[in-house]
Amino acid sequence: MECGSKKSRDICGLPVIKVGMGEGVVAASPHIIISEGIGSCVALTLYDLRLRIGGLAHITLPRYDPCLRHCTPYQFADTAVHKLLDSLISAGSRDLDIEAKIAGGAKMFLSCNVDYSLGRLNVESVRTVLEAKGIRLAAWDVGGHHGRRIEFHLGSGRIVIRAIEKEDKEI
Amino acid sequence: MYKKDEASEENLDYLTEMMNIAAGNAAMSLSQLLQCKVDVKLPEVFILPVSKVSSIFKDPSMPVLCVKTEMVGDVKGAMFLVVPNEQKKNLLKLLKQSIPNGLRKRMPVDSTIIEEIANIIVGVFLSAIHDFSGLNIFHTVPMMAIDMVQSLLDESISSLSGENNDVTIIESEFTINDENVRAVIFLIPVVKSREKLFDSISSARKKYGMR
Repeated sequence: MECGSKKSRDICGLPVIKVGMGEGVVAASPHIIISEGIGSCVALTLYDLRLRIGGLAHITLPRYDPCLRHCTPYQFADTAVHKLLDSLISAGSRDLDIEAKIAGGAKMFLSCNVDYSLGRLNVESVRTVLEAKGIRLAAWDVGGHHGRRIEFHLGSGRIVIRAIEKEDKEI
Repeated sequence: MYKKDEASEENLDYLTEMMNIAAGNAAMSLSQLLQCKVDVKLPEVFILPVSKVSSIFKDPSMPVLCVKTEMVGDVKGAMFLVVPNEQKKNLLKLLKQSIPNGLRKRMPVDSTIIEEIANIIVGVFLSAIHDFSGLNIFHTVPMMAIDMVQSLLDESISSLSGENNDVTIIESEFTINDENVRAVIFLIPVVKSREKLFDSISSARKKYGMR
């Protein structure tokens, strides 16, 4: 476990790890990784079904900016993909066994500035870096105008997405 | 130049006093508009690092009613008025009382009523800063959304992450016709604007001969 994530109470007897903004974690089955209050941010998960290990990064910005001083690799789409991938490979995963899923990238307020959306830029950046790395994007739930709460089940690789006044969604 | 570790308690006290005046003015404006008694508690002002902002709500997924407005002019950034969502019904009931009977058939949608009230409250708080510091801060048309608290703030927080910036939080509780409405205002100036705000407070203190 790394980068500020913290262990929390169990869900149905399974241990839970919470990941906040700009944080990331790699863990193994049967853990559940939870990331809450995702608006324009993107939750990226990488999962190795063979070893049943996976990682989640709560990405806040599309690309690394060397001018920023107090930052973590999980904050930026480009560095987060590299960091998660390196962690999984160090844990014994092979590139071809790893698949990615993403959720988030919403535009929370309908402003006059219709062209700009930090959420869309975050999603595009994650997709580009995954493609460059040859990682398959297996599923996604992105965009819209609502917040999301993500539960990443490391026993199966499934992601349960909760939103206010919406049915739970699974990808 | 203002530096974080010199964030003097005195400057924070002055900001608190400005917000206290603003809260009083906001209560008076609301009282005139709603034609009822409006009281306000002494607001609490505190500064938190961006990473800890959502911790004041305990649960990042907590549903809230949030009105966002952008600050432009001498201080740039975003300002949010946040009210727990369970108070929405109560708040709307109170606000709708202010609409004269003859106009109720043409009553605007709920979000418009809340945006207009937020417009008044935000304007009053920014005026209080202007009156003391001389800074001209304008705000854009407010936009309302109801969702998880962190998801509504995360775009503004993200743009500050890595800059070791802090967020100024003003927590105020209004009592309208004996019903409590807890409102939290988040003032998120961009880095240079935050320095400008506190520099201006220091200059104003010197100008008025305050210690």
